[in-house]
Amino acid sequence: MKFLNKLLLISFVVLTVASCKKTEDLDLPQPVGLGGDIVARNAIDKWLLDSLTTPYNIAVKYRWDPWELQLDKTLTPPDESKIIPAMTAIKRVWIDPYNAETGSDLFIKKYSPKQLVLVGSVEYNYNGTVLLGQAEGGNNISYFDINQNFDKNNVTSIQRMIQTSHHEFGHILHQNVFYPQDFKFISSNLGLPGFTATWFNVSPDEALQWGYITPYSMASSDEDFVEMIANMLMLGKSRYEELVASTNTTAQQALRSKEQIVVTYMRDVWNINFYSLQTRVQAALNALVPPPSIHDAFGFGKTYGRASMNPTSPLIPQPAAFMTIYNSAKTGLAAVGGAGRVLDSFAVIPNSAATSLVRIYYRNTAGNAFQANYQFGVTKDAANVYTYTYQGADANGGVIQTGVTPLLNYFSTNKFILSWYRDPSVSLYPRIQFTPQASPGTYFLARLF
Amino acid sequence: MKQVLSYIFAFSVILSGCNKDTDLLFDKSADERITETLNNYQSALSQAPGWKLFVYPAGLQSQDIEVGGLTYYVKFTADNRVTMVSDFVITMADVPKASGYRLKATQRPSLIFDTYSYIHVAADPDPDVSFSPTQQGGFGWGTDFDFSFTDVTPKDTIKLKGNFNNSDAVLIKATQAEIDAAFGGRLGDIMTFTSDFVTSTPFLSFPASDNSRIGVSLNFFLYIINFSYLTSGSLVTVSAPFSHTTYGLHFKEPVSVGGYVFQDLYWDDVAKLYYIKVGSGRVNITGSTTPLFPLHVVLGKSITTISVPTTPLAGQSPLFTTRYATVKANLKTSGYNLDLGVMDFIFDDASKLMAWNTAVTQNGIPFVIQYVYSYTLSGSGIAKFTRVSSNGNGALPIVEASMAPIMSFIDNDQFKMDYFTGSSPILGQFISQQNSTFFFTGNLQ
Repeated sequence: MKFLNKLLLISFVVLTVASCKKTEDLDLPQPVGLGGDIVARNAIDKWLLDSLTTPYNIAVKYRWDPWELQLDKTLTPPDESKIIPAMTAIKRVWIDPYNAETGSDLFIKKYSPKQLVLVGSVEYNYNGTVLLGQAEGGNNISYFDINQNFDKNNVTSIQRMIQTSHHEFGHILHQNVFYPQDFKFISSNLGLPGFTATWFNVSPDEALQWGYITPYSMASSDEDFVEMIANMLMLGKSRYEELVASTNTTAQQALRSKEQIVVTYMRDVWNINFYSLQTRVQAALNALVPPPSIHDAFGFGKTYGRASMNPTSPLIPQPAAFMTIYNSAKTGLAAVGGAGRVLDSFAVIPNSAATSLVRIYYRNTAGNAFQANYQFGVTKDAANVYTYTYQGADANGGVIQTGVTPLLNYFSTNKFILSWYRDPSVSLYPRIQFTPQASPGTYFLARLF
Repeated sequence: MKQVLSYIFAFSVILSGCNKDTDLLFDKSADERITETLNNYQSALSQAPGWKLFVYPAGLQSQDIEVGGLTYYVKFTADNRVTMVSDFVITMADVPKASGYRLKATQRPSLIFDTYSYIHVAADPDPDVSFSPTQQGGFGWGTDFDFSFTDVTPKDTIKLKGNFNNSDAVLIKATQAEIDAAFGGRLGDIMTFTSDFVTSTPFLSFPASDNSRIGVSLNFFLYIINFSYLTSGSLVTVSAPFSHTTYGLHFKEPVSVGGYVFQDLYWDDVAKLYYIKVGSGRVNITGSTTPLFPLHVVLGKSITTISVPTTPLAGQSPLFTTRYATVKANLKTSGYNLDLGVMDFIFDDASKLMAWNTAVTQNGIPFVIQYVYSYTLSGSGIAKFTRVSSNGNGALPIVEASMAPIMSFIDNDQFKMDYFTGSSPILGQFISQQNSTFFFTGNLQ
């Protein structure tokens, strides 16, 4: 019987193998499109390959592929002329600062998203808003509006695009090593409003007053965390400090705590000095889009029409030599008529191509605010040196003129060199320096509006 | 044992009966056939001197907006580059733009213009870029830049279907001479000639085969051409999407009108006019100093508005002038301090309603006084108006009283609606049948 079983088994095997001949012709052509579309490589492809794909394993998809995007939305591919400038900006202001800060390109190589998708137009949402950037799972970032809005000479458009990179990269970092749990409870511990799904109904100002850097920060603690990273980097230290200073004490406390956790997290987890990274990002932005000449930017009918000097602003530290002049004007003003008026600040306001106001902001003892205007004729010589010639005062100006004479004399007796002011954090934030040609040490700084 | 052997036998029969040969319906696999199709199209596209690409956007039809055609003259190279000129705006006809394209098997073998060029401008969701007829974001012209080939093999005329908006499109192989002309500025020239011809030549028409006149008008905003003619006293209009070519205008489908069937208009450089090819002969489209059809036939259709400006026109009776001045003074002194602006009489034939809109300003802020009338229009052009409603401004008793000097005529009289040919351009005229001294004119729109 045992023999029979064996025979049975053998015959089964033999028959099975022999009867079903399985040889197939496997010499089939590859399925169409396997391994991606085949197109002739051009100069843009080569640049992307050399600059991003080979060094960082980042693929940049710019040729139209609807399957990467919302299938029901009207969208367009990017214009070829925009691709290299946009990617250059991303490389210099996002990748390079991280490389410089970490000392090698390994960090970006390891953690960067692996695919960037470029879209020419914005995406119109059904609620009337538009989509400018989008990321999926830390692996893919889509940049919209490359055609109309990406202007390599416009710092705002570059900032917006690169902010998306820093934001999404922040997500990747905390998905690898989570940030301290404490971060989640900062706002609620301070009695501030918590996270909300309807963050888009919150205005930027409201968000700030509640201790959130942007409305989108209110979406969740993860968004809050990466918005802090992205905004601190892209605003630069000065502008960030000014934003914090502009809000209430509780909100300031929240923002400072969040900032502290971000800085500590970056240091302890990734061995990155966040403030140094911030400076590098700002320096890269400055280098990419050098600011226009101050003479083109500040003046009547130009981008900036008011230079505001406020001695209490920590962002514009005035030299002692100038503060001496300012304080003598302050003392003088208080003495006028023994009325005890208080000098708050002043501003230089070009009010025509050839004239400029020096406007003094002051309060009376009851705390009511006043302003006094003094008009100066303004000329600029071939070497861009400015001369201010006193012309007259308005009614308030007449009343307090004897008190503020030191300041008025400062303008009328000096010739000024105007320049951008950059503090060590090299923020792009617009500040101007008025430097008297004869005594450079008595310069003053002002915030441009 | 016997049972075991029979099992063995049965199994061996079953197993050896396993025949693995498959008879393919086609002699090649689907992948092979797709690759072959793509290769055929790729070589057809890049080997021709160039192509005329006509696109007829379909994406706005769901919003009840019919748009006409768009022309692109395109040159494809084997290395995925395409250069084009377009009749979308004249600058795009004059300066060629290069971009990328590729063929890809998606649902069907497809032609994708894959980086931004002129063909994408009409598809741009930003209305400031595309000048979308919807005048809002997110739609463009409802056109496509990603098309399926609908035929298996390339021919000299390649039919396409938009993959996103389902637009119809067609690639027609162009001769070297046509491509040279298109890229040498001829397309832009034709756009200029056409626009100048239409604006400087009033009342375009051509004779039908029975010698009746066929009116021709072009809508340059939506790229639609209209042919109008009278059939037993009523106006019939045939419309077709058009776009520009190096020789004239091309329509989406052949048009059958006036006894002729044609799909193109041809520009005559010497005579400076358009003509239709009929067999070996031609039929010229010419202008006229007088309108083709009586005003009462076209009122509310091709002419919707008789607009009375604040400055006097010829053909206005002294009585009207006096009454107009009274209305003007009334509005000013009525207590509302209204300054009289343009009066529009807007006709709609479908609803047989006429809106009398009087623009006024109050301290510079514009308002409209509106009265709506139903109307009848006889075969001899006599109109009778019946007031049916007014807007809030028109309903104010002071305003109504101010308007009365003219309104009493509109309310009560019958009017002969006709052209006033005593000035250039020709005006539209209301002539009271009850009060022969009351008549007035307005600009036709």
